[in-house]
Amino acid sequence: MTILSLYHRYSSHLLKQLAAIFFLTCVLPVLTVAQKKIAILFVNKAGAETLQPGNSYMNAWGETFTVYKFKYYIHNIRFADSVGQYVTVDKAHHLVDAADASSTVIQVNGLTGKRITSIRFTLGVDSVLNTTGVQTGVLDPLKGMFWTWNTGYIYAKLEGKSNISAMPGNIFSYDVGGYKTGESALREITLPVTTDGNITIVADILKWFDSRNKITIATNAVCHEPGNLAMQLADNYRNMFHTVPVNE
Amino acid sequence: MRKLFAIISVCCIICIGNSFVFVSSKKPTPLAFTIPKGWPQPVYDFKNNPLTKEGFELGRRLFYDGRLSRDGNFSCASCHQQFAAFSTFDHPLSHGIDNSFTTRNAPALFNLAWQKEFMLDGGINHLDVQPLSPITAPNEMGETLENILVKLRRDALYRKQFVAAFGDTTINTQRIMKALSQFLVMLISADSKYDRVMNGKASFNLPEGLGYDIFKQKCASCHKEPFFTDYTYRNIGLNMDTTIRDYGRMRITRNVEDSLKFRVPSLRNVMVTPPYGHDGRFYTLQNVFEHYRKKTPNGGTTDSLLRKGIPLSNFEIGQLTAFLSTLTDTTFLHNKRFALPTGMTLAPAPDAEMHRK
Ligand code: HEC
Ligand code: HEC
Repeated sequence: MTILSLYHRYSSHLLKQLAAIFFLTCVLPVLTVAQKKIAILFVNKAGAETLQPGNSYMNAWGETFTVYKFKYYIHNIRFADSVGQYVTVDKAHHLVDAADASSTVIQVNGLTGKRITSIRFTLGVDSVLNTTGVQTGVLDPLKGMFWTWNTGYIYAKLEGKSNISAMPGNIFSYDVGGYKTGESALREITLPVTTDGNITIVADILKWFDSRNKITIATNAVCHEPGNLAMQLADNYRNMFHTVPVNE
Repeated sequence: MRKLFAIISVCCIICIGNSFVFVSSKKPTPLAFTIPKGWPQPVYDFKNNPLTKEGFELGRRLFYDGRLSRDGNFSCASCHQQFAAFSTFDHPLSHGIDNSFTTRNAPALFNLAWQKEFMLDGGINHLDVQPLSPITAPNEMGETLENILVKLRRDALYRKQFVAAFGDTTINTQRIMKALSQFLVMLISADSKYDRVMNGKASFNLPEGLGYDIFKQKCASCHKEPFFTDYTYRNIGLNMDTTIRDYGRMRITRNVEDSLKFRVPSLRNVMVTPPYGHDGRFYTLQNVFEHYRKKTPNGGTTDSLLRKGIPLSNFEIGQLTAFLSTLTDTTFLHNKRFALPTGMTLAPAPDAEMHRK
């Protein structure tokens, strides 16, 4: 037994060291020289729990709510190396939908010959696309992320029910958007990257209620237009993201 | 040998692929957009949606097709009737699906290529996205875009028309809306007696001429030529209808200074578009004149030009009416290019049945 445990103890140590040497001398140079594909994975959560449409959660104000829909547009993904220069690797719009696993992974090109230290993207829809008619693909208005009576995209949507809501059917419904000056809900997100391969980004819906602004379902159950409440929600949810470091 | 095989198989794949995505070899026929003499450049971006005969015909068919509504009865044309300059004739509010009503008087549709914003509150910023609103509104056509795509893709004639207009069989929201826009921008009304007078091809009779002078003095600051609107939003001092509670422009800007403001409507074809006002509260032009004549007690956001009312004698009203009659464009109202396409039938008028109830 002792031999085995000794073996275990040293082998793991040895292996780790060997692995580290191997990584530093062989893998890293190859990884950083070749332009490799990187998957960006969005993991939607409510606090520590994985978000599951249909499940109930509690916000910081003790309000229990059930989530039915959680979706958001992101575009213009940029990476920076240690020098801090951001390079656009994907200009396209993506609609991340908690109910559709395939929508939560985005493949992009890494940086040639450089280590990524930071990722930046825009949450929302480019303002020009709000004013130039009907778009296609994920921006097709049939995706339900579009206001038809007051033209503009819904950038992010969090909808469900809560007994605390005084709205008909106890709904709470946050549709956030706005492209005009003075009511822009576009937000830039910048996050550190400490991994070398794929990047996992957690989006925590509880931040919608509790970040820069205090938002309660009791006082604000509905946001269906651009304006102050939409901008407050946007200022909150811009902080809902964090990247997951290597061994989390 | 292997190479040959590879080439053949690639050819086969392309052929099979093509049979799924049928690509038209014929180019659509460009359609000219003629700017009436003396008018400014249109604001509609034709580069993004080049007008073609095929695109226009497709848009025309869509405009008259009840299948764009959930129950098949409410085409765009059910509320926008050509003989009423594409407004709803004789209805303060229009009938929508499931015995519903719109909350506003359906405006006439013409000269839309010169318009930057749409709806009486200016909430819509591009003509291409306008139809999304009536199509999905529960008190208009009550349909989803998904269902419309299913219905159109199933229809062989539509498939053919989309290929003819856009080059391949793709039918998506964008193409439907672009086709509708092609029809809508062609609705130009610029051939009334007034236009012919301006172009030196006719002349006003005495009351019309006097009416024009009064108009230029008392009305043209808002109902500006040649469109007979300056496209601004104003409150002419109408009290809010408490059953509708329509605050107009304020709903879009959320600025209290825009409370009860509505876009200045064009007065072209005004004789055929009764009733009047954003909620159709005025049954006749006489009612409108009576309103302008009185002092408007409704302070707040009422336009400064109207605070004291517009002095109008009965005599002047007669002449103004004569002038406004010269704005009727019969060429436009009877233009067969804009009428129900041959081979189509209009969905059974929802009206007759509803009025019986
Ligand atoms: C149920 C009646 C109804 C139907 C059906 C309907 N409309 Fe309308 N339309 C209206 C009303 C009412 C307005 C004014 C709405 C407002 O100001 O909010 C309007 C406004 C418009 C405008 C804006 C005009 C302007 O001057 O700003 C356009 C363009 C238009 N409709 C086109 C269409 C098209 C295209 C369709 C079919 C896809 C359609 N409408 C179907 C009632 C209808
Ligand atoms: C201060 C700007 C202003 C002036 C001056 C003005 N109007 Fe208007 N007019 C409007 C606005 C705004 C509306 C729409 C009001 C609403 O629906 O709430 C309107 C509506 C109308 C309508 C109803 C049209 C329809 O289709 O519903 C008629 C007719 C009309 N005006 C005629 C006149 C005449 C004639 C004069 C001159 C005697 C005049 N207006 C002066 C701004 C003005």
